[in-house]
Amino acid sequence: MMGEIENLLGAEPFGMGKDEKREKFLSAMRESLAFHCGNCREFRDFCGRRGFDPAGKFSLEDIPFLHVDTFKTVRLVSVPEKDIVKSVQSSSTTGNVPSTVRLDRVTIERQRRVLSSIMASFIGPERKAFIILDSPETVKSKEGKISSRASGIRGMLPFSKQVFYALNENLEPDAESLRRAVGAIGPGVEVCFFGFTFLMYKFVVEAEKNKEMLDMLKGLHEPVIVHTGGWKKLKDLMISKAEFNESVAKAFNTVPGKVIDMYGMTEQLGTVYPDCERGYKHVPVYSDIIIRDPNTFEPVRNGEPGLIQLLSPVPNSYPGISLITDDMGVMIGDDGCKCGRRGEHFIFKERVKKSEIKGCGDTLK
Amino acid sequence: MSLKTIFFDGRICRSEPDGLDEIADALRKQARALHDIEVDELVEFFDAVGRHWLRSPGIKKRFGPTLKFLAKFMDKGNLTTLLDTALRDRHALDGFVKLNKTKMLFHAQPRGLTVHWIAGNVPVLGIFSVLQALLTKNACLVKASSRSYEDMTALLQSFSEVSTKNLKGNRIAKAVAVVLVEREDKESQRKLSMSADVRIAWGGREAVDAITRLERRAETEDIIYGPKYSYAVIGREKLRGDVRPLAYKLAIDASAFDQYACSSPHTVFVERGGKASPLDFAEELAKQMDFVSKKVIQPGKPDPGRSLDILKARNEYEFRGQVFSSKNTDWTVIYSDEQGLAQACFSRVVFVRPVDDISDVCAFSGRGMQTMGVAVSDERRRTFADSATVRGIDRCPPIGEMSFFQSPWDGMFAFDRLVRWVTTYE
Repeated sequence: MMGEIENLLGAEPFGMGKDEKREKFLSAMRESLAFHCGNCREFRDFCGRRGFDPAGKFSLEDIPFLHVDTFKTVRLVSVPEKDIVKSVQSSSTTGNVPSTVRLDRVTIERQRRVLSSIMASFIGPERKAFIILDSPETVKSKEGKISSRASGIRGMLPFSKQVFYALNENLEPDAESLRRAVGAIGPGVEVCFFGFTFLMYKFVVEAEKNKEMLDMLKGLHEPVIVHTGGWKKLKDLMISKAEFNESVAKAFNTVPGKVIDMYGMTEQLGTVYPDCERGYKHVPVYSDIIIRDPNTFEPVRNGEPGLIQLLSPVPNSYPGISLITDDMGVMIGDDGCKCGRRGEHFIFKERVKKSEIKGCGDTLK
Repeated sequence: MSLKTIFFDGRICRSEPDGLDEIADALRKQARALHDIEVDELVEFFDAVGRHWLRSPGIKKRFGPTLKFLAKFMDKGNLTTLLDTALRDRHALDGFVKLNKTKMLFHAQPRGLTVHWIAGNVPVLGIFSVLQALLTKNACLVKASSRSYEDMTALLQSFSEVSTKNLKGNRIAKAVAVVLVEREDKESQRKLSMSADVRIAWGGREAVDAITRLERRAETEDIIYGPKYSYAVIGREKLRGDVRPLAYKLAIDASAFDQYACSSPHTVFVERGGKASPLDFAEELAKQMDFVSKKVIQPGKPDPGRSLDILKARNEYEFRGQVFSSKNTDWTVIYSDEQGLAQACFSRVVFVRPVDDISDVCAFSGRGMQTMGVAVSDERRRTFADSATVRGIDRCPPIGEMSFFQSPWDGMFAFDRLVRWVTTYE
């Protein structure tokens, strides 16, 4: 008999409104919670201390959440060690210690399926020529661990007909590699550039100074541009999303609507939230998002900003199924986005600023 | 505008005075007028101001329970004791007095113009340095924080609403000016520093470093209330009976100023071997933190970054300790077997850690520490306090009084630093 999670993963990613999805998603989460509470003592105890019974009656909002940083300090696994086939580490942009999540084949396969379904809705089902704005070195695993960048790139490869890399090992634009890539792309093959947001911005800044590279990019017709990894570094440079989209679209000879920012995180790989043409991030049926008040941690109403909580039954090898993030977002609507996708859609506002103590209580570190 | 005058000539400013030079000149004139007022008249006046504040609905509403700390400090008996302790005889502020058996006579002359840089997070603490400067007959130029200057001006403005037999409040209020200066306005910051006979800085490391780096005159005195960490220690003998009163007092200490003051405890070391275990005490502390937040001192609302820090600390210790907390961010008690001082989280997050012997805690003392709340028997307290303070911590008050502003503070008798000792002979 097919389980609730399998049922859910077989559904169209954006084919249901919030109400229609709720019961199916809750059933899948119920199955996932039972699995993790049964197989991860620490998670079971955590739920117990919160007075949460996975076998009892509950709503999505009642499911206890871990902070994403928990995976920096606590080793949480729900499968035997022998089943772990790889570990993925976050980029740790806001701290020195990366999160580590340990993946088994079940999780990897689920991640592949959901990513494939979600991305197909945004970049189309046909395989494309992928030009990765990164170095080939990045993709290699080191001591059995791979970085979140590598994992992100690897996740895109199933959508590719051809793969090229356009940065050298110092993460600088490599005009020669780009020339080879553009020359090798077959006729009629659609092109997709994929990269991490800050590297993409660096690429564009360099390309704008390099006529040869600009000419090569101008030869492409409206490629799709997909980027991910967050806005922290660009925010530090005071670059807005609109400015970024405009300069990227101009440099790559495409339209701003084809520049897709993808929100997601290492702790829930596979479940990504790309921008639609209207600029909203869509919640697929495979996950859910709750926006919570940063002081009370209660869910807020649509339109009000708060901390983004991510729920997903995809993780099997670790209990990262309900995570609260460092990110602020706003839920825009439960259904009816004009882009045609069903379900909830939201916007990412910002990474929460680190709090500063400026008084005499600014204790010595 | 990079310089803004908020309070001058005894009232909140409607129009701008000419500039810092003019403000400093006017304050120096007021300082000379203060010189002719007897210290006991000043003490009477501030005692009356403290009582006025406790009766004033507006002030009470603005400051809540914090006002009690202020009023207690301004009590006539307290002020005379503090002045006599710091200066040997407070009347040395009024003229030459004998302080020993020699023929020498001593007089504590005011230094002149004191310039105060007040921290934004605990503006009430800043008023203490203003009061001490006025009691020693110095004028005050206050560089307030743009996010909390209203607290300061509300208190200063109320001086004019109080009169005693010989003193009208407006005369004292005129000896204080409050300005706002933008951080980038280096020239105004330099002028403030150069005009100072005493520079008093409250704040974090970055702020006090920036102030002490400013150019100053060679004879200028510095009083720096820099960043400090505070904690509490409970001996096993205090865990014999009902621990509720002790837990309540600690909850008050950790809740006053929402733990943003340098005197706020972040870690509590509880000695093993008492009738109540350290974990029992943590549980009782949690109950009292809840009570205090609901009934005594309402918590402030932390910013989202701080809320996340609280959430992360709770989450981390869910897996390597025990966490007791409100559902929201109001308060948190974290029990763990770890040693040493916990990283301060602020906003009422108290770490309870067991120790086998209170003497183990002395190793954590250092010059970056300020207050160690102590609940230890009389027999052990002095030896223990001596061992801890020789390593650096400055204050060892009873638990429940950690945030009472006292003199000395940060190892200094500020009253003494605010005067020049001059001599003549009989």
